[in-house]
Amino acid sequence: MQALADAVDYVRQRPERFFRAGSPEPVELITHIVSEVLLVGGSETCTMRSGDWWIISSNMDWLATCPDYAPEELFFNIVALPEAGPNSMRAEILLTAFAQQVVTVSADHQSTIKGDVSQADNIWRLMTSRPDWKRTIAFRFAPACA
Amino acid sequence: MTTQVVEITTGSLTTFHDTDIVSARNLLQGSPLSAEEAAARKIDGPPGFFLATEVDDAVFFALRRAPGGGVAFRLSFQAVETLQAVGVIRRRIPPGKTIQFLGDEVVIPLEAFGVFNRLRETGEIAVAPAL
Repeated sequence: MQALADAVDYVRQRPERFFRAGSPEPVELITHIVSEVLLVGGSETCTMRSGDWWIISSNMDWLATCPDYAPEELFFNIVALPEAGPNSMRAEILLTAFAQQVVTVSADHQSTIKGDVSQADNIWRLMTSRPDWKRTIAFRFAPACA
Repeated sequence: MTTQVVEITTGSLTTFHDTDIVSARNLLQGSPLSAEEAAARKIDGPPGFFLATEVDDAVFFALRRAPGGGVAFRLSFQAVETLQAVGVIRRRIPPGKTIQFLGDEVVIPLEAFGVFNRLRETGEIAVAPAL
């Protein structure tokens, strides 16, 4: 029996299953994350856009609400989201599958999930500009070249 | 409002159940369906045992329990008829937030586990690795 483990590859190869228009779209990505934050108990969210970077923050660390996974693991696994009903899943893996770069910051830790992001990149300053945010995710979604 | 469409299946049917690799191997080796185990391992949705008609949908459920594994259940015509008579239904897999599915699910309610297990014992339901 073949063991199945590469969830990111599964998602990446099937964009039509995850996006209404059939292809990855940053507004839909950030909408998925916002609704997830609110469903797991967040009361405030903030979204920003800076060039190709999309940023979402909350006053709660919504990645710390899943007992079976560390926050960074949520970006690499299909994780159920029962708060949204049967067969629902957390959306962080969509960022890993479809964005070019993904980074995240909590109150005491910062991580690069995907891609190379220089410590001098302005995105880090943007993400840490509001200390009352307990978790911020930023992803870079550059349109495909024609 | 969403209307649940239940389909009647006539003929044999190949379905797939994907789960964690240990449970998949146990099913392959003949472990019967158990209401207690189903309840203990439930992630979401109603109680029961679920079979997908599309292997690609089943893989999604294996990856929710990665490392996962898949088992194919081949239901004979007789098995399909018998299961439908005891409350087994086939319907579209309910879409979750963020994902759409390709095919249907066959829902085995807890009260039909005994019939399902007997059909396996008599060979009306055959089991093989899905991939």
